[in-house]
Parts: sequence; C-alpha cells; structure tokens
Amino acid sequence: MNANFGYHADPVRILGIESSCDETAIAIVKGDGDSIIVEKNLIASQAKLHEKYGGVVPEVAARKHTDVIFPLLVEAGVARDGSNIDAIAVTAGPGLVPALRVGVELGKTLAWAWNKPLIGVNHLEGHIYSVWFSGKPSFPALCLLVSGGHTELILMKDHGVYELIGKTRDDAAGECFDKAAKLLGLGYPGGPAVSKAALAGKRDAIEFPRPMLESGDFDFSFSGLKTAVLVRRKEHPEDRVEDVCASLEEAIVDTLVGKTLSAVEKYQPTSVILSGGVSANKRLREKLADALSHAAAQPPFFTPDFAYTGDNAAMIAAAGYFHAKQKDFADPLQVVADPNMRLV
Amino acid sequence: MIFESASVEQTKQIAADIVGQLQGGETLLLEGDLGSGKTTFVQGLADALKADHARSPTFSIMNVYQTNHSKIRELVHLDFYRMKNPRELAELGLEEWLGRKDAVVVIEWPGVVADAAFKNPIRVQLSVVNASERRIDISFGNR
Repeated sequence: MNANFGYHADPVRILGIESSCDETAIAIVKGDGDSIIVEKNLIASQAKLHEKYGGVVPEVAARKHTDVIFPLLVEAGVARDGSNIDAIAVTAGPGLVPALRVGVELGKTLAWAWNKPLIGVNHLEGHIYSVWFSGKPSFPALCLLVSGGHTELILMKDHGVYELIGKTRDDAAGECFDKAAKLLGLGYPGGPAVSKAALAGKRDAIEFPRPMLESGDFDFSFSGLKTAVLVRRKEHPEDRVEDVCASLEEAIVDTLVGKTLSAVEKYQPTSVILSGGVSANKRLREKLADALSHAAAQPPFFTPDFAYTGDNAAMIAAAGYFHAKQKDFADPLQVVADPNMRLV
Repeated sequence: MIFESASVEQTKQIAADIVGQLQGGETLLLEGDLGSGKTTFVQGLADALKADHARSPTFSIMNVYQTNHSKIRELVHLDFYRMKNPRELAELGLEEWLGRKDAVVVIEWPGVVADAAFKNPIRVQLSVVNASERRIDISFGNR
C-alpha cells in the first residue's frame, strides 16, 4: 500500500462500485486534499455499452449487475493489475442483498488480489458526498436525502459522523411521485412526468395535505398524500391532470422544505445539502434555496449536479476517499452485503 | 372473513388480531389498489410482532424486520410492484425465507408470481370504500 492517504500532497485514485438497487455503476475519482475530481463515472443504464454488450435496462436482478459490471470496469480503464487505483470503495448497504452482493464481492476480490485497501460505504453516505464534486459544505451540515426509496434528514457533524434526525414513516417522497403518476396515467419514472405536467398546471388548484408538517418531529409520511390523490380523482374526475400534478408537487415540496427549515432552526447547521434522485426536482431546488436565503442564519445551500442526483459510483468513491483519509478501511475477508446497514 | 375498517388505526388493529392466529411459516399475499392500505396492514403486523416500524418496500423490494415474539423471529416484507418478470424472483433468494418456521413472509403486489409458488397462503384483499374506510377480506388457506 503505497499511497499516503490524507497526510501527503499526493493525490489518490479511488475505484467506486455501486450495485445496491437497479443501477450498476463503476467510477474512478481522484482525491487531493479536500477536493475530488471525477475521472470516470459509468452507469450501466446510461453507458453506451449497448452496441458492444447488448441492451442494458435498469432492473432489479442480480444477473443484470453480473452481466455488466466487468464490461463497465474495462470501459472505465481500470488497469488489470490495479496499478492506477489506490483504494476500492463499494456500497455495502442498505439495499437488496442479491444486488449488493455483486458489487461487494467484486470489491473484495479486487482488494484481495491487488492488496489494496477496501472501504465499505453506506449508500446514503454516498448520496451526501455527491455534492462534494461541486462544493465543500462546512460542518455541521444538514442533509435532506430524497429518492424513490429514501426520505431522510441527516445531520453530518464531520466526515463520517452522522445523526439521523428524521425519516419517512411509510413511503418515500419519490415513491409518492411515482405512484401518483401511475394513478394519473402518466409515465415512469413518475417524478419527471409529474413535474413536466405541473408546469402547465395551477399549484393552488387543489388543497392537498402537507403531511406531518405540524408533528413536532422531523419524520415524514407520504402515504396519505398518495391516498389523497386517489380520493380526489374519484370525487373530481373533471380536474385537469396538470392541476393535480402542480398541486401535488407543491404539497410534496412544501412538506420537504418545511421540515428542513424546522431542522435548520433547531440544529443551526452551517450548510444545507439536498441530494438523492428527487433532488433533480427543480421546484424543490428553487423553493429550498429560496427558503434558506430567507432563514435567519442563511446557511449556504449545496445540491449535486444533475449527473450525480441518481444512483452512481462516483459518490461512493467520494465517500470512500474521505474514509481512506482517516484510514478507515475494512478487511476484505469480513465485508458482507448488509441490507439494513445503518448510517449511525 | 370480511372486516370493515374506518381508519388507519383500525386497519392496523385488524392486522394485529391476525398475528394471534399465526404460528410462523405463513405467507400472506396482500392485494388491493394503490392507497388501499397494504403497507398500513403490514405496519399493524410489525407493531403486533414488536418489530421495527415497517416502511414501504416498493423501491427496496424486500425489508426484513427482527421481531420480538415467542415463535416468529423475523417478518419478511416484500413488494413486487416494480417487478415485471417472475424470473427476477428466482434471484431474490426467497426460498431462504418461504416456509421457515420462525419467519412470516408478507407480499404486496404478488400478482407477477403464479399462485402455485406459495403453499396455502393467507390471502388479504383490501379495497377502498371511501377516503377513510377500507374493506378487508381475509381468507386462510386450507391448512
């Protein structure tokens, strides 16, 4: 192990591996001090592997991950002997075990064969680090993580030090978008479909609930909002779909923004991070940025470039880099896919 | 057995009452439209089994909750909503859980899988009556 993680000026290269859910992804990032540069960021469903290796669609299937993970490794330009890689970071959880295992076993194998350090990264932590490619949030940072499977408020006190302060009690915000889109006969994925229709709708046309906004804690609940859309469609079939979408998006965004602001007041973070798949939602970005600019402390706001909002391996490598700086390595013989892996 | 539920709390209570009849090893198939209360029903099962709070597994596909119950050690919560191909199931490693005497498997949106895959499942059919009321039809297999 030649690289001097953290203490020398030498930059280090981290190989990132992600296969926790639908996406298979491989990335190489270069870390130097507190800066991270993405050198390669390949996601199977987006990569132009179609001609070479056959069609690739995101699918919850371990077989799919297995089929594409080596082609991605080759495509990323990883040397056969690992000579251009200093450490390996792999998503160890949470996620679906058969899917996770594909990435975890690859990471372990490479680490063992190359005799390079291995870092087991929590998928949620990866999403938080997706903002480090374009900024350097100061601590404590409050992170709102929103995706199809997650809605969490996390206080990040330092690199690798987290406190979970709130999460959804039922459905994630992204799931609410997707299922409402289904109820409204729109396409998949539902978030972009609802947002697109919302542009032509009135955001105050229908008064949907803002669930749990007054609950006094930082938990979320989006299941009732889904049901509210269902009931509204039955009782008012004459509603314009655009108006339903606009009103629903506003309800989801208001709820997320409202809770985040309450958490800002209580925890007084010096920066706020919005990440995860739903952070691609423009209305959410705008309203949260606007609300924070009017908050007493006006904490700086960080959100990833659109390329890094969804699941990717660059964010896993970025999280791995900061663990590597602290020499927080895992034994390749001990790492296992952990479906319920906790951040704290 | 047909139950009428007037609230989320009642739906959870109906599920909790079912737990009293479980021995471990059962599979429950939950059917019903979006918003009919399937995840709410599972939350009732999880609460009665003193497990962690149950959340929707639509994206995660499978959540496993540790319980605190004399016979049932784990509640396996599955959701096949996003699955299009029954072959995907083969890779989930479900055989590890189905029929295990110390676990209960509950599946939302089981439609993608042929009925024959489950031995004497308990079927739970939920339907929306109005904004708050649900009809819950529970039929036990011929065990």
